[in-house]
Amino acid sequence: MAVGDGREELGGKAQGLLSVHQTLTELDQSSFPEIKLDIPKLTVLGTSIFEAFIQRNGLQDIAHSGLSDARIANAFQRGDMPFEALGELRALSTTWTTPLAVRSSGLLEDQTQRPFAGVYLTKMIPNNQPDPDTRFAKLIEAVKFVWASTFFKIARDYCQATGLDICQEKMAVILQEVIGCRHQNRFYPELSGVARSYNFYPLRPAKPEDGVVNLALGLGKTIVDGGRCWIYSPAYPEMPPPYDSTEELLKETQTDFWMINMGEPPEFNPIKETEFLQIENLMTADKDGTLFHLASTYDPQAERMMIGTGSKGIRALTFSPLLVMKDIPVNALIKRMLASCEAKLGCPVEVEFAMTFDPPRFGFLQVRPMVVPEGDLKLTAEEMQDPNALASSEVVLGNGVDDSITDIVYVIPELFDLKNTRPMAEELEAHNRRLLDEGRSYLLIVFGRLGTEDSWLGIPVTWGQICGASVIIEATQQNVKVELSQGSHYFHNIINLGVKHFSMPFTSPFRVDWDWLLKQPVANAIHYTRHVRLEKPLHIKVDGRRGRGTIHHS
Amino acid sequence: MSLVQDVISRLQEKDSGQPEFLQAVQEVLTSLEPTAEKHPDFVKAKIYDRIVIPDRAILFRVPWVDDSGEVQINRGFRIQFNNAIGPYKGGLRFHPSVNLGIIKFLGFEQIFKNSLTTLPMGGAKGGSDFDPKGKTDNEVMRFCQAFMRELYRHIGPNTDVPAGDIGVGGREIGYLYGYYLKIVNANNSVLTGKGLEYGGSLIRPEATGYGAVYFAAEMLATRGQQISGKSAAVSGSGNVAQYTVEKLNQLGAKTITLSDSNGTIVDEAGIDAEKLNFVLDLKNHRRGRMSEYAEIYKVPYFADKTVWEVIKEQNLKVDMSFPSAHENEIHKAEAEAMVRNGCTCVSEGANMPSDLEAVQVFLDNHVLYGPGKAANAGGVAVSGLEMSQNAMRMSWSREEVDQKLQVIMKNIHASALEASEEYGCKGNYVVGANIAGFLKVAKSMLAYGIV
Repeated sequence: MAVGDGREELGGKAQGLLSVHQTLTELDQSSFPEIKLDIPKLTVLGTSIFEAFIQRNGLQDIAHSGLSDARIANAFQRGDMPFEALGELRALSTTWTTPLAVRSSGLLEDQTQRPFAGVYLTKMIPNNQPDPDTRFAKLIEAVKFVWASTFFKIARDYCQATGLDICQEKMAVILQEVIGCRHQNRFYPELSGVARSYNFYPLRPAKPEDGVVNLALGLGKTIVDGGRCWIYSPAYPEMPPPYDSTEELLKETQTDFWMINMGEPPEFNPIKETEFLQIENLMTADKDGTLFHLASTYDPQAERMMIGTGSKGIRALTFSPLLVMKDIPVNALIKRMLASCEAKLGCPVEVEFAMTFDPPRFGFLQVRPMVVPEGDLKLTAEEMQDPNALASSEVVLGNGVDDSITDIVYVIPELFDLKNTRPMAEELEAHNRRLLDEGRSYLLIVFGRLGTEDSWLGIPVTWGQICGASVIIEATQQNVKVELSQGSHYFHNIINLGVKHFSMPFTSPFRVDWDWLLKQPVANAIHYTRHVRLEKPLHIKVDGRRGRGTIHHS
Repeated sequence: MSLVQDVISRLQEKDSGQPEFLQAVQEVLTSLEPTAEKHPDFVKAKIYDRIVIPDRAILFRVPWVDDSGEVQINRGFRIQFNNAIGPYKGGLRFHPSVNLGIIKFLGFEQIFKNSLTTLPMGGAKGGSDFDPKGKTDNEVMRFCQAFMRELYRHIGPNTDVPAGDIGVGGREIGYLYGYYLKIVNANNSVLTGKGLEYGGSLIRPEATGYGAVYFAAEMLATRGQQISGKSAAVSGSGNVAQYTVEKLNQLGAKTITLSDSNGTIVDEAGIDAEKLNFVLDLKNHRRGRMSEYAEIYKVPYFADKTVWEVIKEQNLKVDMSFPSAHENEIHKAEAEAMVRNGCTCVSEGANMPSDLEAVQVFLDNHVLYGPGKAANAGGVAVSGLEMSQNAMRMSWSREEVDQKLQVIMKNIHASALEASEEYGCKGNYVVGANIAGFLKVAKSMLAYGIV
């Protein structure tokens, strides 16, 4: 399959696929006889071709120049493809005539076990032109674009932030068949998904080791880009995400999806990742008949959601036909697959997949190990009760250590009264806007149920009003002993942005160290709220495995 | 100390842990102070002391089993506050915030809201601290069944007819009613908000929007004016806003604004039936943004601005305003701009969209101001009409329900106007609505003697 030889040639993603290939063939498919399970056909352009391309075209300097992404991409487009790859690529263009995904498969991804999702780019091409020469030309453009993305700003920043040397990177490229069906000029899978066998944001009663699955209609770009999708625990597939109401469900579930445009692209732009992609509305999918296994229908007259698309009404992507009615045992398959991959790789895994339903086909696209830090994140009782602890909690979402935060925004405890939560929301927005302008993330400490619509329960802020907070504490005190949200109002944002969320219910043994906090120098004060800036950053540590965390001041 | 303060201080001794309830009592009784002077018999019969104590408060446990087989226990409440003018009527709320104080607060307010509709409905409220968020359908069903296992003995078509509220929509009403049928074996009208197939009423989604327009028409009629030919600003683009525009179009007005949380469009040519269909499709099916309307119809779009901010900044002329988005969307400065730009009629489709200072601006400038508690009573009114249809074992057509809704809104307006006149502030619908709702209940209580 690979042009070149040796495992190193393949890069991280391709090696991942290779290592689970055997596992997939061994997976007992007798429980899922109606589903065809496979890895879509693919070939890998090895890292040696990448190196030859850079060297022979003299692209080293521009690659590491720090120039704009467009300049780098254009320079790569002008380079000549190494001759040793031309024959294979030409042959591929002749025989493959369905859409292709041209994906990065970097070496660092595998060597460092770090997730590079969303760092390097993927280009999808329709690959349906009648002329093989045109298909070949478009394929070459896409490969060069993905190679160039190795040196784009986001990749450089990522390597810098994680202490990796971008000069060491070698990029293999996977050319893979896109799973999907064509509907006029639209080509897309009915279902895309990302499943993780470990979840740092479990919602009760799910546990971290139950994992988590994100599902979307159309290409998986919706999920990778952090768009609206359906998030559920494979241990509790019927449990919906914590929406407040049907109206909120309709507002927050996916309404637009990505697909490959099989017609004329609106513009020629080989250095644009989405050159051949297009966004369509849910109603188009309804006309295509692709919502049958995915949607529920809301009847506004009856004010209720009905599973399926059998009746007229407003469609909502709840995936209930699959998850509740179990039309096709997708969740059982996902669970089995996660367990097998975990056993094979010996660690928690993240799997990407895509499906079509007529007939049911489950395409396994990627597998990568998940980094679940162990030892050093274990929190001891002493650490939790340390005199320097600003706050500790046994109900924490998120994972990892953060030693960068020096800004704290808090509601003044003695002024907190549930009567005044609306003006508090406005004050929090003002702090948030100022800190966003300064590019500083902060710790937010509030009382009550954050984000509630009922102002008698907590501060009714929308996510946009506090979006700069990277750590949030929901605290309680004598006059506000309400049930806390535990992040459920903004769970989608909290998950996507990796926000650490501490809940400190009144029954918990821990309290915020207000004596210390109130003595810190105030940078900005409004009536009910203050912003303090510390000289030394806080030490924030969250043990995602046990859902515990602590915040220490120095 | 005033009469009201006396009542409140006595209440505070007994109900100190219920701040929401105490605040509601304070607000309502303060607005009712003039009635005490005119009706010494109310004072003698201690109507004010009696009306703040519920007829009965039913508290019960609701045990149920979740999907993982674990037993869960919630608290159930039904506060039957006052049935002087009709069977208890009021929503059920399923939300973790629910406690005795909150249910009492809501039940107390419901007495006057229901009375104002001029329909025979008493005041009540109920619910549970159950959180439907993240629960499966089966869990919600089991909870509803457990809740009804106790509630059924306290409700009845002539006793108490609960409806939905936060956390209790069509699904929950269906589960509750289904279980009631099972254990009582009688197809009684004990809940409203039912599905059309089993006793629900038509026009429910339309009622609030239509009602706000009917109320505006009545207010205008007091000055010899009509809706036809007038321009209107409508905020929001949800149910209430959509049906407000529909009714305004039917009555010959021209709506020039709509908005969502991202911004406001201004279409001076008017949002006609065709454009409204586009909005219905955009907001209900595609769940898109109003900016798309601006792109399609080539009209100005003001990002991150409310309708009222646009009126203020662009000096947009409008004759009527229908705030239909959310609480506190109109502040003093926006209210002043509305008046400056020719707005003479405000009818609130949303709950409390104008803050207190804005309301004062409207009143000071003799704007016809229909507060939400009167102008958006269409929803409650259709609940009442559902009871009537069930009692008659009939289903009315859309036209019949719409016609009756119009009559109810006319009656609400007339009683609020009459009360405002009687109490010396003619045309002040805020005072009128509070007093009209109260008088009907108080007079009934007086008639019954000390019971």
